Amino acid sequence: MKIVIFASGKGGVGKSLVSASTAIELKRRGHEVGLLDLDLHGPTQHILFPSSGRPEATREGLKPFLSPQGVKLFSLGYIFKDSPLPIKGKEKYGMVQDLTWLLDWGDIDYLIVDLPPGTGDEHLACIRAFKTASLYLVSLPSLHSISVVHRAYSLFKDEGHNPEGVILNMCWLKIDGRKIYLFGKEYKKVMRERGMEIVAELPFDPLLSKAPLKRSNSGYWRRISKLVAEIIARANRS
Amino acid sequence: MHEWSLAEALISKIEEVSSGRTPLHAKVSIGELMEIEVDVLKEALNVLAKERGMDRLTFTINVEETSFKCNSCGLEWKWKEVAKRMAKELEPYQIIDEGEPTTPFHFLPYLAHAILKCPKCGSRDFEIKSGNTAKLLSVVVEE
Repeated sequence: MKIVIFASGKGGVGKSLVSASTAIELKRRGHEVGLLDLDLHGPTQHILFPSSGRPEATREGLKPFLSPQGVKLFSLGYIFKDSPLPIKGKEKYGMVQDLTWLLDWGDIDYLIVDLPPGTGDEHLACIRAFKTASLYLVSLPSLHSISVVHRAYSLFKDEGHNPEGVILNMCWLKIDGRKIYLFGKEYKKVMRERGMEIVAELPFDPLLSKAPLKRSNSGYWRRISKLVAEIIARANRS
Repeated sequence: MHEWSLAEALISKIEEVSSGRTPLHAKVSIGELMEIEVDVLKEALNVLAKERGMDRLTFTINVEETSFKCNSCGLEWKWKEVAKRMAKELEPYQIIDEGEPTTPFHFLPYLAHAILKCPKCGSRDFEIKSGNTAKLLSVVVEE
């Protein structure tokens, strides 16, 4: 099983959507996929992939849900729904560890891990638990987002877990065939100066807010397909 | 039965800390909050230990009392003081374990922070002082 972690120092950059889209595209390409939402305070995968069912368990462990797209999913949101989870410090470590051994994913080719924003306990616990995972950071192409994501990049690097690079989301909006760069074009230079590789540039697609996981031939999904081909190629090389 | 997956994790941990030596005895502590059936856990540990060639391994399992302290009003309380009246409130969060509705704390004891509140002031800002999880306390190996 290959493990792919999506992280970001910054919130609201579309990390959960990129994780979910990647999982769907991997499944479409014939791989068996699991998606683990490790955002303990603000899980969202249960909103992207709603289910009215109760979580189930067997002797082998806690069973992930199965999405209509065929992706195996687990998010704490399926259990505690809208309640806040003010969990702290070592308990977060404990929760991440519990989830890594408790879930029974069965035979999957890829496990996608969606981390919360920040550079805290969940992040450290996750890279300790998944030592061989490939790690991708997600950022907006704005200068302040890149600056915050660089902090996360440095943390992972210092902990011996070199990120593969950065996925820049919401780079442009296409209106009448013309690309409007929402945060300017300076980001390429800044990324170079910061020593972070751009793995993918994704467009802003207003239709995603209506049907975030409906695969289409849009620019966003074409770019996701290209990103997934790159993730597979890199995973096969490592 | 979570006892079996828990036993699997404990046996793997015992193997890891024994680093190739023969484990003879392991002490395990289980948080009361998890409502683990100790007899089932013991049986699972014995079966799995034999399967992995640890024939001489024996176990001591202690259930640690679960206690809390509120960071807002300072109240200290024990799980057993509130467990009965919490049963109804826990229902929406139950996990179906082999067909049986089970407390979510059986699998994920830290979910207490999402579900429980201080019985005095209603704050969710509390510490689980003891009895929150399963721990491998010690392993005696053959010298």
